[in-house]
Amino acid sequence: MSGPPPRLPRIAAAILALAASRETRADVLSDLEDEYHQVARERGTAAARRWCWTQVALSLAPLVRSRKGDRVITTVASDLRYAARLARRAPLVTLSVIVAIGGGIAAATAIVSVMEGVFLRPLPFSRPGELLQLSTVIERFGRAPEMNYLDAGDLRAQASSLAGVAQYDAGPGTARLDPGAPALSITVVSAGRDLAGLLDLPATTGRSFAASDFANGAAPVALLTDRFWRRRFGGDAGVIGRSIDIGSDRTQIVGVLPPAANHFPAGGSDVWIPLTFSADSFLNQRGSIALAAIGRLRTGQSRDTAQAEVSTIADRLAKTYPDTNRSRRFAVDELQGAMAGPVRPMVMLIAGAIALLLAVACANIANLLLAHAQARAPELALRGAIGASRGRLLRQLWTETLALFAVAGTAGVVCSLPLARALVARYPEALPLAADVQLDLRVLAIAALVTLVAALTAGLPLARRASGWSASAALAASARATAGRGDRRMSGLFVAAQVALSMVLLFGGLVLARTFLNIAAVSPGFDPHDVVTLRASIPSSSLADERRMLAMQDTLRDAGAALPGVESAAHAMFIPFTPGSWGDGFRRVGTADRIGPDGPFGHFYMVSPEYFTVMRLPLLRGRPLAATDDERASKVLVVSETFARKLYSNADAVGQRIEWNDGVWQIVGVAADARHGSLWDAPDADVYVPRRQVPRGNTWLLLRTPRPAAAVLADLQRKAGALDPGIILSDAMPMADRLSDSAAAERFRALVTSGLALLALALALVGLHGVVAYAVVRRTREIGIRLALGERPAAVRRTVIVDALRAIVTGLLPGVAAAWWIGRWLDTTGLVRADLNLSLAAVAMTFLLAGLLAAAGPAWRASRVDPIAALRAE
Amino acid sequence: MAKGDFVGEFELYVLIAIAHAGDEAYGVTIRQEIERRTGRVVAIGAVHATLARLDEKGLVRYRVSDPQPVPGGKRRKFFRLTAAGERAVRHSAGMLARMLDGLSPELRGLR
Repeated sequence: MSGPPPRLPRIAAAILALAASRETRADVLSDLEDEYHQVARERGTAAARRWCWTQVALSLAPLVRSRKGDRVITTVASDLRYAARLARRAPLVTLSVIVAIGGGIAAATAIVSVMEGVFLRPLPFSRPGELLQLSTVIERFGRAPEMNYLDAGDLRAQASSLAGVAQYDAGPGTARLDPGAPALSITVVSAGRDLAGLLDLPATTGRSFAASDFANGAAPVALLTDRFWRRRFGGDAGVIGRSIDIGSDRTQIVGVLPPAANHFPAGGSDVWIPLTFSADSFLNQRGSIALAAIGRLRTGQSRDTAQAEVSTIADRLAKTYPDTNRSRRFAVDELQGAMAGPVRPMVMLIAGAIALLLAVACANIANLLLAHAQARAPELALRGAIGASRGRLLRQLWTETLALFAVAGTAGVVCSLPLARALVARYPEALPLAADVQLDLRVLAIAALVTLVAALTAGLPLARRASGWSASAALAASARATAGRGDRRMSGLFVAAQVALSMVLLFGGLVLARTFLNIAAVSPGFDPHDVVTLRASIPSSSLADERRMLAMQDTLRDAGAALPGVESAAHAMFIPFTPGSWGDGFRRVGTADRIGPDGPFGHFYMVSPEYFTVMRLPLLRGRPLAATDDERASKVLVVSETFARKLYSNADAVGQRIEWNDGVWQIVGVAADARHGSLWDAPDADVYVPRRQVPRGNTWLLLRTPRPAAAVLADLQRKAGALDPGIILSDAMPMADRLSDSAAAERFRALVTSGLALLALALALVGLHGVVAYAVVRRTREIGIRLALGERPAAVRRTVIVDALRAIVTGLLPGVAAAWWIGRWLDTTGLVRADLNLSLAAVAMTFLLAGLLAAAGPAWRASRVDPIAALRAE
Repeated sequence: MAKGDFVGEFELYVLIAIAHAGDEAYGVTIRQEIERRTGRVVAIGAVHATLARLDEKGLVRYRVSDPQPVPGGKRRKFFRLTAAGERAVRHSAGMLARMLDGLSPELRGLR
């Protein structure tokens, strides 16, 4: 083992430094460091860390004890001892604070550590501030984080503010590490030749890509990311030179990327291969926008300069290539912001919900502390009477509160790391960087600050009350054993605050839950149940010969249809709710349409004729695609209902012709609308094209069968292997799962916010119940007198319930206002689709009913007070 | 015998460890010496708190070394027993021996 020695855990050292006296501090730390390195050398870093923390834990007591002479330490220590005794005497109060506040702090720390990883920690590339994401903006479609290949080349050559422009494509793929082994699903980056250089990611083992790797027809090579290399090959340098199957290409591993590449693009990747395509590929035409692009500012240049410059270039391109670039502009954004941007609304939403929950918990605990202090009023008054100054009493109260919160905060921080990991693991979208969420000093400082603020919030009312106590008044009050008017008002305010805050949270949870249910209830237009989908990679040797490729696709489909339990089978270039689509412009024959950015636009799906049967996608007019619509027959299409309505409003679309992809096509049928990308968006103008008339290698198989996807995959892979061992089947998944995965973000949002909201509701109700019950106990004598004077029990019940309702309504009014405002904000984030007013009304009703329920018990007990017992109790 | 010469159990261990370590007696060696001989985990903080107390009582003295001859080397405090410290060790050891005298070998920890 060489390299620099591992660094002493900074947090441990800081704790020790704090505990040690000024005289011993330097010696203690120096010893700790020396021995830490010694243990690390002998037994490894992990053992050294354990040793270090044990030392710190054992050293605290002797170090603090040795500072006895220190006056502050002595007082604080005696206050702490007193607080600990009190905490043991009132275990329920202690436990409530630790659970409510500890839970809140745990959630808050977890989300802060995620936010730090996503938004604050700089990307691990050299000079990350210079990195840019390049996007294309088309007036009609908005912004896409992608760029045309030729446009990007022009930017690279002409933009002097940019040191470089690199393109890539990231997507799902398969890897087979040994012949005959099952294929792994991986994320593959097809890297343009400048990508590794631009991000400054030279291979750490083996070599980087060479210029010759990007030549058309070059032998396939791959770089592994550090993560994939360690996970799948145990970090063995011997893999360099080995060959694995990526897709169906036998690919030689030439190098390993540095760990920083694990974080690019957002969500990470496993394998990089050179981005290559033939000169006649659609990628090489001005019309296509399909590759992601990043750039690096030349040192000293600003983003604004770059933006101005690329805009000028866009104008120039629009004049040179009006057909394609007429309404095309470019945008440059800082890479970090661009990577974090998509997740910002959801993360902020969760953070907001957690902040609300923590606030509810604080209000709850403030009330609890106030009630608890009420019970202690005689003790405090006595201490005051025998000479404790007001300042001394306040210090005592603050020490108690802060110590209690410190314990709760520590417990929260300890629980936060697993909580943050669970959050990241279940997070339904790619989170940049947060995969290695950690509790660093910054997060701990924020957690400490949050704990302190929570303690101050919850402790302040108590301290305010305490400083108003005069000994005689308190002793008199204790003699009466009833609460003063001020205390009751304060308790009521805290209940109102809890109601208001948790109402906002419950409203958010309900709106997001409704949104998810509304989305999930949208019909995709086809029947996704009992359809198994899987991807087939056909070896490039077969792809080169179009006839062989078409035959292989049909053979695979027929093999699938012949499997036991399979009703029908089809193949397609793209399938719904799975990345990949072909959006394109076209021209209606007999009109003045121009093909291009302002002409008609549709989504084209190449499918085998059985597609409609397998998907149970109804045909509304005309005829479906048929097996006879092959490469020799005339070109035909089936269009969607939206297509027919948008482009041929009243006229029958069947029989109409369009010009597209260098040919003239006749519409022979109209199919029902189907959703392909998301259940949120309205159906598009879709076009179904016979596969044989636009042959493409990309192949998905669709099988209508009730059998599990894995079993179908295994059966079909056996048959395909007999056909050609190079065929690799992967990504087997029921269509219904693809559909529900498309709403995973909505489901996650709904679950997290509803869960937090229910916790807040429970806290608020427990708080309300506590306050009402306590008020009844304190007013027992008053109630007894009233009953003795002849007031009916029903009237007593009413008084108690009206009091409770008053507290609820006091909170409900600001709660409704805040929820309404939050609802409007949620609407602008595009995260919700639900009736906001209805939800608001439902939440308000819930609180009224739940409040009545919480007050019912105490009210009943109040009406059952025995007047004689109540009066005698004094 | 003055009252200040009475030392606690752990103080005694530290004094003895200093004597054992000779010229090399500083925090790390003292701690490791006690740990090695007693088989108990000894806290750095306890050692230094005790050293400070013994220094106050005049039982130990220290000198600050030149920085260690390595990059970033630190100054160390090397401890030695004062005459009073030596007396305290002798006194405590003698008292212990006298107290144990006559007990069964099991209780004296010899078997």
